[in-house]
Amino acid sequence: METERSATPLLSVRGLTKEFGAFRAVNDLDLDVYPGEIVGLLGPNGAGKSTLLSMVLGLLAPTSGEISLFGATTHQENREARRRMSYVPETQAIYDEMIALEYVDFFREIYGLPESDDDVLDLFERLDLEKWINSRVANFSMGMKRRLGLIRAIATDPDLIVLDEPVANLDPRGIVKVRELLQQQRDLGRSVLVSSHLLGEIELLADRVIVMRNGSVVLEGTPSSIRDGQVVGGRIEVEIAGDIDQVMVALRRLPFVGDVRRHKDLIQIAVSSGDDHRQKISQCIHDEGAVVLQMTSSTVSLEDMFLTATADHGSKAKTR
Amino acid sequence: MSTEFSNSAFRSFADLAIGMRPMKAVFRRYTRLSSLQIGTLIVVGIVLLAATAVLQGDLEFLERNAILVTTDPLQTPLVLSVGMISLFLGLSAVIGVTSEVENGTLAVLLSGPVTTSSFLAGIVLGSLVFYSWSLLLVLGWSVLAATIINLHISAALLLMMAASYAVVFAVISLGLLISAWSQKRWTAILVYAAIVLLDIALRVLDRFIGSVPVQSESTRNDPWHFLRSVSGVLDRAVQWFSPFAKFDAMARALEFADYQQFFLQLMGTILFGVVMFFLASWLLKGQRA
Repeated sequence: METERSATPLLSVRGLTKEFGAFRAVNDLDLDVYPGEIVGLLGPNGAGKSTLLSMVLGLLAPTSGEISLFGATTHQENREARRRMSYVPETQAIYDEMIALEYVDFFREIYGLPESDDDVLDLFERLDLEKWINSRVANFSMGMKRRLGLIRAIATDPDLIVLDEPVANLDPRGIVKVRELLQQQRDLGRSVLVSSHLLGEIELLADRVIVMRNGSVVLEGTPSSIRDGQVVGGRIEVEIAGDIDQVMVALRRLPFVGDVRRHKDLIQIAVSSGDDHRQKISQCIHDEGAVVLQMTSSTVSLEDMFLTATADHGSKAKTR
Repeated sequence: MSTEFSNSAFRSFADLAIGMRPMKAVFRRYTRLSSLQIGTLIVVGIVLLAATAVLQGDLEFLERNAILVTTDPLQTPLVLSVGMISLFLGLSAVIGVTSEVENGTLAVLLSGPVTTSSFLAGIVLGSLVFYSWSLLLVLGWSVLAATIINLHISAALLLMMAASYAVVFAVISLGLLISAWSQKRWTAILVYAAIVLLDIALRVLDRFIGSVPVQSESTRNDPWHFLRSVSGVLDRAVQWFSPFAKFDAMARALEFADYQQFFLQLMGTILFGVVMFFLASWLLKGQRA
C-alpha cells in the first residue's frame, strides 16, 4: 500500500535519545511520519517503543535530540501542536462515570470543538457502537472501550493519531472495523503512528514499518518491500548429517544470521542481509564436521523479519 | 532548582491564562463528580451534625459555668465545618488526581492541549463550587441556629466564611501536591492522612501540655519544662504551615478586632495554597519530563 509522500513530515525525530540513569531506552533515533501514511512501530518488549511514543506525545522529555511536530520544534507547552494530535493508550483510559457520547464531547470541548455532529455519530456506527451511544461507559466491555477510545481520538479532528496496541481486546470483526477506519483516516490525509506487537495486523495496516531493538531502528520499509526481501534476505532451511546443536551454535555466530531454530531434523535460519548466504552457511556447517543433505531458501513473512531484526546481532537496514 | 521552579511557575500562570477551555472542561467534570456523589452529601450532613454538637456543648458549658467560651458561639462550629469539608475536598483531590494517573486518563489529557496547571486548576475550581454549596448549607444552619438561640449573624462570621475559601484552596492544593508527588492512590491517601493527623496531634499535644499547671519550683531539668519548649516550637511550626491553624488564628484575630493579623493570616493561607498548587503542577510536569 504505497502512498504519495509529501515532502514535509508531520513528525520528524532527529537524534532522539532518552536515558534513565545508566540505561539508554532510546538511542540516537531518527523517525519521520508523513501526511497520509500509517507507520507501524514494532519491537520486542523493552525495545523503546513506549518511551519513544511518550516523548512524541510530550509526556516525557528527551535526554537529547529534537522532535519536530507540524513543522515546529515541539515541547510540552506547544499547545497548537498538541491540539493537532490525539492519543489512544494501551490502557482503557476512559471515564467510567460518563456516557459514551458525553465522553467524546468532553474531549471535543477540550480540543475547542462543538458538540458531536453527524461525522462523530458515523464513527460510532462504523465501529458498531451506535446502539451504545447513550450508555454508561462503565457497562462497556474492554473491546467496546477500546473502540470508544479510537472514536474519541478521531472525533477530536487530529492530523496525527498515535495508537498503542489499538486492536488489543478486540474480536476479529472489531479488528477489521478498526483497520478499515484507520485506513479511511489515512485516505482522508491523516497520519497514524501505531505501536503494536501484532505483526500480522501491522502488516495489513501499515504503509511503512519501523522495527526497533534496544532503542534503535533496526529495520524500516514498507511491509511488501520487507516481504519481498528488498531489505533482508529471508529464511534458509538446512537438513544436515552431524551434530545439529553444535552446528546451530556455530550458525548463530555468523554476522548475517538472525534467528536460528530447530524444527525436527531441519535447521531454520533467518538471515539479515540481501546477499546469497548459502555458500557461507554450507562452509560453516562443513567446518563443524557436518554434511549438508538439503538446503532450501524461502520468502519470509514480516514475523520472520521481525525476529531477524530484533535478534541480538540484527543489523539496521532501510528501504524507500 | 529555584530558577527552574520559578520559570515553571511563570509558565504555569501563562498556561492558566490561555488554557481556559481545557480547564473549563475539567472543571465541569469535577463539579459534576462532586455534586453527584452521595458521599459528599453524607459528609455535609455529618459536618452540620458535628457543628450542632459543638454549639450545644458550648451553650451547655455557658449555662453550667456562666463563662463565655467565645464572643461568637457560631465561630467554633464554623471553624469545625470548614476544617471537615476542606479535609474531605483535599482527600477528593488526592483520589481524583491519582485515579487519573493510574487509569491512564491523565496521559491522554496531557498529550492533548491540557496542561498540568489547567488540569489542576479545573480540579480546584470544581471543588470550590462544591464548597460553595456546602457553605450555603452551613450559612443556612448558622441562620437557623442564630434564630433559635436568639443571636445575630455577625459581620466577623461572614468575613470568616469568605476567608474560608482560602483555607479550602490551601488544603486542596496540599492534596494535589501529595498526589502529584506520589502518583499512587493509596500512598497519597496515607501521606495525606498522616499529615492531617500530625497537624491535629501537634496542636492537641500543645494544648494538653499547656493545660498542665506550671509548678512554681519548676527548673530547666523539669521534664514538663522541656516538653513545653518542644511542643511550643512544634506548634509554632504548625502555625506557619497549617491552613487550619491559620484559620484558627484568623478567628482569634477577628475576636479581638485585629484586622491586620487577620489579613496577614489570610495572605499567608493564600500564599501557602498558591505555592502548593504550583509545586504540584511542577511536580506533575516533572514526572513527565
